[in-house]
Amino acid sequence: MGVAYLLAMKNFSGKEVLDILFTLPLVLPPTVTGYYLIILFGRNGLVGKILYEWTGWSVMFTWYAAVLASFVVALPLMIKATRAAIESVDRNLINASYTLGHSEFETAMKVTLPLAKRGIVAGAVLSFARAIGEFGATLMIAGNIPGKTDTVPISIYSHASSGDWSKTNLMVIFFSVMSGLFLYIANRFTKRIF
Amino acid sequence: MGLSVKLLKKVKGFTLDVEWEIGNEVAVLFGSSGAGKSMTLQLIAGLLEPDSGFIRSNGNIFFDKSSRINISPQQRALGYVFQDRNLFPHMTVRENIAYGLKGKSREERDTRVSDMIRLFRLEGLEKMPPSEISGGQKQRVALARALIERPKALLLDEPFTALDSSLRFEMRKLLREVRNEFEIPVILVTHDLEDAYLLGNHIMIYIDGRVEQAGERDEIFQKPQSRKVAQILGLKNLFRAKVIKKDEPLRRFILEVNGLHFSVPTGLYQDRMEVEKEVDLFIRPEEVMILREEKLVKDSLKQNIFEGEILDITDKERYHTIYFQTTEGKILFEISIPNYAFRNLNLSTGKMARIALREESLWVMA
Repeated sequence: MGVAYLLAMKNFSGKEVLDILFTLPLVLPPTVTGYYLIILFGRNGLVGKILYEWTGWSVMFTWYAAVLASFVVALPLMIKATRAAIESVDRNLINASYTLGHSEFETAMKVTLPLAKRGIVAGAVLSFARAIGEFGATLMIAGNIPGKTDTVPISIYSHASSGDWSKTNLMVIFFSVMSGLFLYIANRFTKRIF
Repeated sequence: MGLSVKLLKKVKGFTLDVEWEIGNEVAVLFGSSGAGKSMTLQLIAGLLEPDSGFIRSNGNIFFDKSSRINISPQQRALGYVFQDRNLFPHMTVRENIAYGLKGKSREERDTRVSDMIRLFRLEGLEKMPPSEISGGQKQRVALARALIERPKALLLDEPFTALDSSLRFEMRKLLREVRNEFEIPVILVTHDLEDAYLLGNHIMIYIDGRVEQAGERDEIFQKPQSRKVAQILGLKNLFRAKVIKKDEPLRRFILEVNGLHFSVPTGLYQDRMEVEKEVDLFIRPEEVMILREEKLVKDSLKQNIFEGEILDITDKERYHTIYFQTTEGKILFEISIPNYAFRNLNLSTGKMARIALREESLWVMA
């Protein structure tokens, strides 16, 4: 949310670069995102190495990795939605708050964010839906260990490729209904305007 | 005392360059849109930063480029009311007004807010969201919120533009009350002539980012400095004229418009006018006299008498407007006369008549 606020409210050099950096996972093939994550968090990766040296533990092929992959892939949606929601708040109101003696932080908490709330919640719902549906990047860094790192989309893949159609169908239906529900909730939040 | 500013601000294709000073009075920034009026308010409030200059208010320095002072908008805490969309839609009327207060104990907040609600006649609306109150009520809430901390100046950016005329009347009255209650400079930005005339003690005419003329209201309306000012004020009877003669013994300039001669005293214009110069001539519609046929003409009027025809008459509630065209030169005059005078004159469309202009009511812009 902090990043989105910066992107929406401030002008600074490198702003667009930052925006692109946070949007990239949205357009990159999931395998590419997953590959970057391996480079970063793998046992010999930039962050992973430090982590391994300090704790003797690696995030790779654990359910944390699945969470991390989902988070990275869903983040762009969250930031995009939040940025748009903050930018849509009337500049007059923010200026009014400033002239009434309220600091930028107070204004953000009492005016900007409450008014952007709907857009932000809608973004959160969408990105959550995106996160649980994550497949490619998760497969790259968390693998497919039954009972440990097999997320619903990955199980669907496993069941389908081993010909277990009844389980596949059940999970597909479950997933479709749930995603539809999320979209419905997201729409409800975006449409109702003050 | 009051507010004094010197502002220079360049943005794409536009430069604002103004310097003025006002007391604890209502000053009107008047001009067409894009002249830099709203920008001036934003600079004063601290929402924009000037490229150079200063902003001082009753002994406080808000901004001074040369000593690198730039107080934040929060600390300037000037009352600021926009044209519309002032109120926080997620707060009630009461919460909106209370938002203007900072710190303070609960009891003090409550009494202060209640005082403002009473002063701005908002009783009964306290718990309503802004979406459920009228436009006039919204602007009253915005004013109450802007004034609750007793700001050092009040900035109003076209605050009545979005309201219909009966509400504007009420808001003007309210603003006069505000001026008496809070002794602070009030700067009103408007492009509405009536607002400017009825509310401004002091008027500044903005044209293309500069103050074209500033002064007391009556002076501005009676003695505009240039054709631009006269046009922006919507003044009628504005003629392009040429100085053709200086009559030394009679101490008069003779001006020509379409072959018709006008005479004005030299005194006022001595150093600004010379023979052959092109000037603008202006006479207020209510200063044009229609002569009654039987009446003898006074000597003081004899210089500027013209014959012509009445083309049209319109009834404007409190006065009549007569459109008069001179026989020679075909100059069109707009003449305003009060209804009682109109009835005595027995005028009708198509009738021939004579008009007289007092020399003192002719105003020449050189």
